[in-house]
Amino acid sequence: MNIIVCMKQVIDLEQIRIKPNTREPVIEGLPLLFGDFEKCALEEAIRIKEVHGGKVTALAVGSPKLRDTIKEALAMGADEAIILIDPIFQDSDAMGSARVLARTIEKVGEYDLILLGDSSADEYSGEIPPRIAELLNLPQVGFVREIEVVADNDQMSEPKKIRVARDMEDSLEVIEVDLPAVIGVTSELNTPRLAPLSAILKASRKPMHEWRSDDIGVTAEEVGARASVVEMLSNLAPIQDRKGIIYQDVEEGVIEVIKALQQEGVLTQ
Amino acid sequence: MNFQLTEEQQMWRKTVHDFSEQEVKPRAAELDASAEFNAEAFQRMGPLGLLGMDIPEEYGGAGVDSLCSAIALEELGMACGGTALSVVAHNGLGCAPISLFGSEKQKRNWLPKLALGTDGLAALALTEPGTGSDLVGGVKTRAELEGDEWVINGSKAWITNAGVASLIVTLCRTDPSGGSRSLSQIVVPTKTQGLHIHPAEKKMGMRASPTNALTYENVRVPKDYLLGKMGRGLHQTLEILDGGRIGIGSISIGLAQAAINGAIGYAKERETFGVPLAQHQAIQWMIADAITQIEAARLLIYRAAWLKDCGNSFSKESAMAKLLATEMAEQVCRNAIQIHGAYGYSSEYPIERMYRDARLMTIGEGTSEIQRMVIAKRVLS
Ligand SMILES: Cc1cc2nc3c(=O)[nH]c(=O)nc-3n(C[C@H](O)[C@H](O)[C@H](O)COP(=O)(O)OP(=O)(O)OC[C@H]3O[C@@H](n4cnc5c(N)ncnc54)[C@H](O)[C@@H]3O)c2cc1C
Repeated sequence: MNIIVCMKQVIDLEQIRIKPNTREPVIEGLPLLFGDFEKCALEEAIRIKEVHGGKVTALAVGSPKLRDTIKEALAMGADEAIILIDPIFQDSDAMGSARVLARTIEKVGEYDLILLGDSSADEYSGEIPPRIAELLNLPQVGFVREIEVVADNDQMSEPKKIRVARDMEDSLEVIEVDLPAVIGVTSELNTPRLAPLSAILKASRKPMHEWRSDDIGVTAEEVGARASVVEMLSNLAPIQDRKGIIYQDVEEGVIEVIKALQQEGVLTQ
Repeated sequence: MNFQLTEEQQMWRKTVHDFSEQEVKPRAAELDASAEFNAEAFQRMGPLGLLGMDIPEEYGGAGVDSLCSAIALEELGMACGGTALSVVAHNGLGCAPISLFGSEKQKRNWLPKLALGTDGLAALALTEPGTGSDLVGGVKTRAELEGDEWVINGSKAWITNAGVASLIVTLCRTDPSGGSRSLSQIVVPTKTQGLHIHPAEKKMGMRASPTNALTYENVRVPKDYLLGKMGRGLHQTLEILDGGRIGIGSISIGLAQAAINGAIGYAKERETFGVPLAQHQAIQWMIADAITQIEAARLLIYRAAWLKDCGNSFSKESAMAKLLATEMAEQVCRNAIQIHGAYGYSSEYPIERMYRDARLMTIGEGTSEIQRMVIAKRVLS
């Protein structure tokens, strides 16, 4: 089974600080890495490959820093990587990014399954999986927290279906879907492995292709800032309004705090 | 000159960091209190490559440079000194002599299992109840050839990992007339009859790392368990210790870094005289000195590791690095406690554990005095 995993490099969210006076996040100079969602998608692809054979290709669009970041995907177990770096991709909206990914997937050609994070850890818009599916005319399932390959009766042939469990918060929806398909995964899917040292050291020996816009036939009219129809107006941390209640009397304070905790559901009545 | 770690080295640091945060740090306090070995973490270390850092790839190891092991030990040291000590002793003391001096057959026989840690770890037994620093003059454990077997009698003391080891590389006197060519290294599997491993020592720190005394009572092992050359035991040992010192220094840096990180966090929160501790100049200076010393020690350690990787002589440099890093760690942990005040003295906070752990580092694998002797000898010769 050939699996393509789309991976977005995001800034290390743990290191974001908020400017107290303007509420703007400070993101300049922060390290870029793969988020948990994309690592779960890759982990699942590797696990499927370990059982059913085939090839795992990691695919990422981003800044030149990707040449380094992508090695983590190769160290974890992707067989091959394709990275797309081009100034014209910059400031794409979700449509633009989906277009770049879809064109690349079309160019790769041979695939049975496309896995990616249901959302990205930074923007969390959740638009990419359905948009890619639309562009490639493929079935799509999101919020997936379990994937099972449905074995064919004829053991020798390639699996043609997968069964996935979709997280609906209060229930799990189980869906069977024909391959090829686009699957957006949640971080409940698995615990991504840590890459062993020997694999880290060998990662740069695995095939890595770097493509630009010409390679996949997209133009500045279709992607990037110019093609972007969604504009981000502001990106600020929410105002933190602390109530600042102070009880002078200990007896009263204890009673009120217990009440408040009960209201929040932290303590049961 | 390039002071930038490669992408692979940075990725490896992050991997070991994540592993340590998940598997090592959460249990450090508990294992210190109960003086227990973190067996579960060691099971997971094998597949990651942490138990094969001194083993070439063709024998199942990670086959990495010593800078990568320094980085890993620093990260493990930040999480739990004792666990890190067992890792460094396994790799640098136990596996390294087999990798460096073992025959093809010996390497095939022992290294792949040691790299995974499935049957247990490796240990190196030099120290004896009557001698530590003076191995040439003091080692009394004898090995005599009887037909096709070595017969070993004697005792060893303070042997890291002996209680969890599958084999112990033992420094024995093979020539009773003495001198620097009278010692040899012999591999003794721990299941061999006549080898008694005593209960773990009760220690001040590094309590998650088992340290045992051993008695060899007519222990018989095949003749070809001799490691390297007959009579070269002392030279082989000194070569191993040169490398091991980089590891001990790396753990010290981890301990110091963890202690000062804790102190920095605390100094920003705790207020005295109306301002956070971090705004008092006396506290700022302690922190500034600590960070400076840690960085200086780290550079010396990385340089010693780099020299080793380049195949240059690094004996003086590793002694200097170990001396500085271990003395620094003790000082930094001391000041981290000072910054914490009474809380630093409490086992509620991890700092006192780091202080106790750091205290070993100026003793094990050659005391600070011995490091100075090594350095002075090189400088004055
Ligand atoms: C937790 C722990 C783990 C250990 N793990 C191992 C292990 O795995 N394998 C192993 O073989 N050993 C191990 N050791 C032993 C350790 O290597 C020795 O303790 C160390 O080498 C010092 O030897 P000693 O204790 O016999 O001290 P001694 O050699 O008796 O020295 C006592 C003091 O005298 C000083 N001194 C000695 N000679 C001189 C001199 N010529 N000039 C100036 N000062 C001098 C020393 O620096 C020291 O301060 C371990 C020890 C501990 C505590």
